[in-house]
Amino acid sequence: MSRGVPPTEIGALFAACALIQLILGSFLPRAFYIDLPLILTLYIGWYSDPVKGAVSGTLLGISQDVIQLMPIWGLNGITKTLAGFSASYLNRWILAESNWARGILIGCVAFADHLANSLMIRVVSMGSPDLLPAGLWKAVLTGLGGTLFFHFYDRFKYPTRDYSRM
Amino acid sequence: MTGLARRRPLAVLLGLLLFHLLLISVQVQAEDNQTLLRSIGLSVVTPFAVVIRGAGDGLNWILDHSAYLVGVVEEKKQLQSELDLLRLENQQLRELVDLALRSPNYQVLAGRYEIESVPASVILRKPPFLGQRLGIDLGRLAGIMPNAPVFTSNGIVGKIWSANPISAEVELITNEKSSVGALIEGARQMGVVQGDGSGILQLHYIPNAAEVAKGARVVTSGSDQIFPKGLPIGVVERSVPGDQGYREITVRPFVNFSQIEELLVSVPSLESREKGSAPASESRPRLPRGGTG
Repeated sequence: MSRGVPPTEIGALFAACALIQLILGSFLPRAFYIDLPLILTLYIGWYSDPVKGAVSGTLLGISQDVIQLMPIWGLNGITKTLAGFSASYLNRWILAESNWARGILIGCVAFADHLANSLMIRVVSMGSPDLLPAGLWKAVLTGLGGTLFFHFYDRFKYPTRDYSRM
Repeated sequence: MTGLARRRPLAVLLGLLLFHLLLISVQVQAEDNQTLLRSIGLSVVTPFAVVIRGAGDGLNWILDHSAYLVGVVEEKKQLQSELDLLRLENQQLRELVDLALRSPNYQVLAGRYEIESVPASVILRKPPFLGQRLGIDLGRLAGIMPNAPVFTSNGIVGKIWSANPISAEVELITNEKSSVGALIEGARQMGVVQGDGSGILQLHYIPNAAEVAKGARVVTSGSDQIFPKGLPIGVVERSVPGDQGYREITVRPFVNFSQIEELLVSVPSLESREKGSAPASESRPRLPRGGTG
């Protein structure tokens, strides 16, 4: 598969992500258990270079902070920046082409992301968010959502590729 | 690849992390929850959120207004609006009657029960696992100031946490750091209601000697200088004697926070705004006008 996500595609993914989050924030905040910005950050980082991964993580994370009314902006920005940056290197070191492996990987990152955000909110005394049950739910649902996204978006982008071994 | 090119990703990462740390440190230092950045950011997002909310409401309207239901829907909306206002007035009049029985100069205090408010729509909600806050579609241009009380016809919702010209953030009373002066109806015991982030409230500083039965209504006491006296908060769900001389009381709020779509925000009267925009907490609220709970 050719590496790289063009800037126009990153822009389109960012716009779609912001729109979906605005809709969810208005009508279905419980759906935020699926961390869409994290899934997109990992996708962009996974298929492109570390700089694009980090910059995409920053943009998606800050938009998430704004739309989700976070007490401090920049918390999701930090975690998504690190996630986008790391995903680019993880793709070189870890073979996670199967849906199961991707799902578990995304779930673990989502759990770490939730713990990091929650702990930072506690450190700056802006509240004490739910750590474990919410973190586990977020990991499971984001892992599942991320697997589905990678599965279908890959088939949409590269319809001629052989997916029989995944 | 040259050494410089190899280090570029790391340099970008460090630059972005530094940017985030600066961003966070600027906000932590802000005392009134209002930084220029936050104001600009929310102002950018608000029009999109308002359009999306409007589109959703429009869709609901189309679904609700099938040809033969037009009259019924309009009538129901009007009656609901009147009922909401009457509920709120009724609660406050009950408090006034109590006051009249206890205090000879109640007319002097009666002004405390008048609330001037503007109706606002909820356009954004925070994820349930990260705290309790709402975004609304009105801001400073509508007279909304930080710390202004926010309520529905069922009871109090919270207070304005921060406000920019076109939108504002509401901190719910169920939030961990939130607290409201409270009064138990009947027992006339004053305490402080605090949220713990779970959706249930804790009522503190009620002595063990006080008789507080399950089902007792809890209303605002006015002692916090933010919420006017007599607004409904919730109903006592559990009341047992505590170890340190005070009862352990949990209160279930009257308002279903996950289903709020419209709410009322207390604003300073026009006269006080003209005098120099006094904060809502310092103004004397007046009776609700034109709100739709």
